[in-house]
Amino acid sequence: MIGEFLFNVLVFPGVLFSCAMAFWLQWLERKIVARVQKRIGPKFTGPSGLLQPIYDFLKLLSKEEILPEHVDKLYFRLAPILAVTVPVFGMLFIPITGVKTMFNFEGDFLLILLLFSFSVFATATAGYAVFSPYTSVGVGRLVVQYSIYESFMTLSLVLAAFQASTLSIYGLLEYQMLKGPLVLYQPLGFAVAVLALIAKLEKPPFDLPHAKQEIAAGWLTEYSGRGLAFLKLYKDLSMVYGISILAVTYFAGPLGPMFSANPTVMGLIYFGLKTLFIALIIILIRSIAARVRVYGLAEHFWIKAAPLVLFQMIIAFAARWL
Amino acid sequence: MGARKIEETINAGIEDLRDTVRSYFDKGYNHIVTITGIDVGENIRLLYHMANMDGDLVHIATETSKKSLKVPTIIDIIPGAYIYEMEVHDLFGVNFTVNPWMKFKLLLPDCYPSDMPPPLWKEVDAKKVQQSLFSIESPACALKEPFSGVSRLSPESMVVPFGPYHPALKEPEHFRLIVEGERIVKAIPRIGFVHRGVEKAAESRSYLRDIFLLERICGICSFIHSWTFVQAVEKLLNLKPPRRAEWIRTMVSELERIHSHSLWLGLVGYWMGFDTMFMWIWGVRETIMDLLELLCGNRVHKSIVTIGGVRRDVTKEKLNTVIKQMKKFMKEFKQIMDEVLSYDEFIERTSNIGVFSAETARKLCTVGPIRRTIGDPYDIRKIEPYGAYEEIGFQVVTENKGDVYHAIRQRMREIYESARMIEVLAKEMPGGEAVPKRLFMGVVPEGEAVARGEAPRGELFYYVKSNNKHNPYRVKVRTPTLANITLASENLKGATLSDVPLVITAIDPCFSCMDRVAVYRKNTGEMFMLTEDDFRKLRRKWKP
Repeated sequence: MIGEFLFNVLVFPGVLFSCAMAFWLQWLERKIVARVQKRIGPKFTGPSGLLQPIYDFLKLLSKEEILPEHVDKLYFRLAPILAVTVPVFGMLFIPITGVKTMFNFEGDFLLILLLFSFSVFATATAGYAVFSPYTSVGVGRLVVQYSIYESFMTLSLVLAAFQASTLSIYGLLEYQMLKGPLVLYQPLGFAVAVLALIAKLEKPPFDLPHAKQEIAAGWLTEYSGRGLAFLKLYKDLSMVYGISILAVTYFAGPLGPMFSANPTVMGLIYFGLKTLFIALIIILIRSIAARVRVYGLAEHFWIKAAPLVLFQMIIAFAARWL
Repeated sequence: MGARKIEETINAGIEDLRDTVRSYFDKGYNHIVTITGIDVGENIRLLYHMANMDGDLVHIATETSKKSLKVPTIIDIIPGAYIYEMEVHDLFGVNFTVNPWMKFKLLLPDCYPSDMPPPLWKEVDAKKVQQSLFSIESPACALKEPFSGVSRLSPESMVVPFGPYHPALKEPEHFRLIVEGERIVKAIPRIGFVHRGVEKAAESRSYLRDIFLLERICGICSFIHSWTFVQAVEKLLNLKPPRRAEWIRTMVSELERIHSHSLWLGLVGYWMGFDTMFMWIWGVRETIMDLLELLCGNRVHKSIVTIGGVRRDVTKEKLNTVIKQMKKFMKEFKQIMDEVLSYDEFIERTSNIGVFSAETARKLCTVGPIRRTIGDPYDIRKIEPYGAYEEIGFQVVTENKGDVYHAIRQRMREIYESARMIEVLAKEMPGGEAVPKRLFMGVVPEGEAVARGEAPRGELFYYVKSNNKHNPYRVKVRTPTLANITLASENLKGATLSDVPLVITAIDPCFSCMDRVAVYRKNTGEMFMLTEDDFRKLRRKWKP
């Protein structure tokens, strides 16, 4: 039991697996964005530069870390640790090979949503640990952005749970096993969730909190060395986590033809393909988008996305009686 | 034309200077090119170069003795002149009464020794200035009050420094932005971090060496600097360059314009966080850079022009390559711009940003593409043709509104027009000799000449005074960015923080070019110094 627990936490689907996924997605993003922009992208470390993200991470770890003056040391140190812990913790609840993990319980869907929001707390802490103009403007924008996308993210995910009449991840998967993936019923909700996820991951067009042309690196400005390495890892981890949530909620995670209830490799393959699909959508949007203005952000969500979600709500109501 | 010898000046005494300027202003000479100061022994001579929209220039001359150094200001007649008055004030010590900017340093560091006369006086030895500046221990003295001029307008306002060392800036300029939330209330530019004293250096070098020196004023539009200078010198020598040389010069100049404009378009993408556009445009720009290397042997400092011709001839094969590559460039460039301009987000992000009216632009004597954006066909290539521009014929591209979106369209269409011109130039290149037998090493007979050229950023102005020697007596440069910077800081007011890069970029600033004549502005309001203590106080407030 304790052995299984440790394996779950440290190897699969905990720390090691999450980090591997994070590096894989980072490589994918760098390579695809480079190709869209007519560049080559990572090339030399590993086959087609596949190991480049790992190399970058390790190199950043070994770099000198500069502690700015007038910094709140506790928050400054705590924030990166908190930031990487939250998504890894959340990953423990995502069923990847089977329909259940050893941590699942009734109502865990709410927990993963909570954890998802909670990671913003870590980044805001990271920004406010040092009070400099760039970080304060960066955190200000981060919070504004958070307040806008979060409601849409939660709303569209909750609609899925609403249609399945459940608050557990297992219940969601069970519903989708019977009725087919939820994306068939809720394509609009899925679209809005992807949009909100891009905003959450601070990728273009919603990379306002660290727009380098305006406010240097935003809330990340004062970090260097280890702290920076972990915060960069956090960004990729939360991409893994966010995509995993979407894959489970809308694409039935590990389920698919020839899936058996016992933990199998098939589940992992299905899960990998589905996350890849969502990641490709996000990366392609990200690679061709121009940054929105601060005032354009609210417009995107409140004017363009809100009607979609409301319309989706009606469909979800109807779909309950299917 | 383009260049002309100054045959006659309108001499005005100090008392009737303002009346003379006003009378010419009313006659249509409403664009001040610059004010040139010249040290003529006991006196300082000032030349007001005023232009009308048809390419005519008048030179109003006045003199003031080195003892009194008082001249009436003309900024109430031509508001855009204040920057030129500040420049003369710094370099020659002339006081313009009553110009409110006079109490501020413009170009020199704050630690310029007070016992030394202004730097462009002939008795000042450049070496001594250098030594005395180097002997000062703290380099921070160049700018004694780093936060002076920043007054807080309300408790909610906050000062966001923008540069000089900012990850996004390619050149050292500094803007202090007073923001309330995201909205900018005031923008205070501070430029002058790379001043090298090029004008003084030019006086001590021979004409041939000056070409290479002046070319290094700008890294982007380097060719037009050397060409305009050479035009002025050729006028002084009564030398007419061969027709083929003029055509080659024109071709290089137009290639340079395409390279500069596409560089700018890429940067617009970069500034607005549209990295893909940036990468694409800079990708196709390489074609142009390769062509420049093919023609001149260099990518950045072309060094192809010399007095009386060009330094390298071009072969038939090279011209064919130019035609072929230009076709390829145009195809790719058109495709990219079609895609970019069909992107709603892009149009939304750029239109109605950095809006300025035609009146403001005219009042501040704006030049170049940004002037043409509002519809004034002010293009030196047309109104005062030089090189081969008159022969090949071209259209002056104009837009009808002053904002970033139209500035983008303006430059895009100028690229199309330039590409068409290059094709004509390459196809119909006249034969004959283009390279002079030997490089010019002699003396230049006494005289004064001015030359104007249309640099990618706008009207570039050179004044050269010779006195039968190997080196010029005085060289004066007015880069287009200096004329346009006033407009940029005007436009920043009311913009949001996320528009700052775009608004500043709209004029295509080249700060290092300008830093022969750095601008230092302060507002006259309450002085406020933001110190570490303030940050600490703010931080304490923020703590729960």
